[in-house]
Amino acid sequence: MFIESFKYNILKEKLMKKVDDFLHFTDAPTPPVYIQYKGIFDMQDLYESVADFFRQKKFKLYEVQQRHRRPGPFGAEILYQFRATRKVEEHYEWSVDITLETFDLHDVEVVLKDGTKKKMSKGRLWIQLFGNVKMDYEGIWNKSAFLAHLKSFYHKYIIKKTIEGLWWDELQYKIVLRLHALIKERLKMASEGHEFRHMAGVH
Amino acid sequence: MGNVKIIVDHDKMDYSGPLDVTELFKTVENFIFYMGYDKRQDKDFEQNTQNGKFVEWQISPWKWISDYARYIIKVRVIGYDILKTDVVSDGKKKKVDSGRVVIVIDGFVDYDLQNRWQDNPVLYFISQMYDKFIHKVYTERFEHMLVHDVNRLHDEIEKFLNIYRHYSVISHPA
Repeated sequence: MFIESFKYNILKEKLMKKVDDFLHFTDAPTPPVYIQYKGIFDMQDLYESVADFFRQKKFKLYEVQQRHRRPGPFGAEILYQFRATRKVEEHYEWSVDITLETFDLHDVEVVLKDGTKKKMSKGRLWIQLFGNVKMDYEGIWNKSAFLAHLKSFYHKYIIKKTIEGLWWDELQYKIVLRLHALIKERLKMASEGHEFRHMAGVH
Repeated sequence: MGNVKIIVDHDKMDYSGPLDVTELFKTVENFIFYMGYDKRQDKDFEQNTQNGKFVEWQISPWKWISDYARYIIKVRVIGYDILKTDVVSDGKKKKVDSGRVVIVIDGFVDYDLQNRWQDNPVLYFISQMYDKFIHKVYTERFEHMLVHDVNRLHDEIEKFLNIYRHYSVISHPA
């Protein structure tokens, strides 16, 4: 009985494969990047900087969610979730997910260096950036098992170095880390700037 | 995550005095870029407190040395009570940061990241035998090279902070 079930399991493993079993390496995500900030900042400027950055990089920016709530007397909690996508070539697209959440947020009036007054925000800020390279975003190669196998082979053995060395690299250094540096610059953080800004390339 | 081995455990520096925090981060980033590491930013936290800025910054850059192993250097910088102060440099007055900075460096070698040798106990046993006996010379050499990289980074930071460096560990790549 045991041997029978054992045989059955092996047969099941070999013959009854799911699509996910042979679809490997369909996307290459970047490690998530975080920023945590407490102090005074200009929310409008930050929002516009992020939107402008993606516009310049030919991305389409979507607002997935915007949530505003006031859980206590210390200030508002606002959550912004953005998704920026760019179909770079026929075979792959870049997507960047941005989560921006504020805590204890309230308005303050600050005096700038030139003496003018400006309304800014004070509170805590939590930002998370997460990039992903998605291959075959239209799902053309998912129509049959043969094509899926072919796609898996293509990704794993033929264009693996291109994915890891070019597509992923460009997303990580020219988009995600650059945006990360831009946000730090707008917040005037001590760690502003990044040393990968001189990376070769035309964009 | 494959089989992570700690090679450098908490190489620590504690510094109080004037420094440029932004430049310190740039120095570390520049060094890892120069050494061919890929950047991974773990933490970038800043809080404005009554006594000054509190900064926590952590990166764990990695570098593939073969299909089987990669180096990870984790650098953690914690800055307490960082304030801007006026200093005179080359006859010119300029502003720099001042405060206490604690820097912790760890070095890891990550073996078999794709978990190809960890699916079952037999494969795991073979991989361990291979690492520790057959491939021992190479394994140790990988570890020496990582120690060398960490020492260089440590030295670079000491140079930046202008700490007395008479007793710096001198290492050579294996």
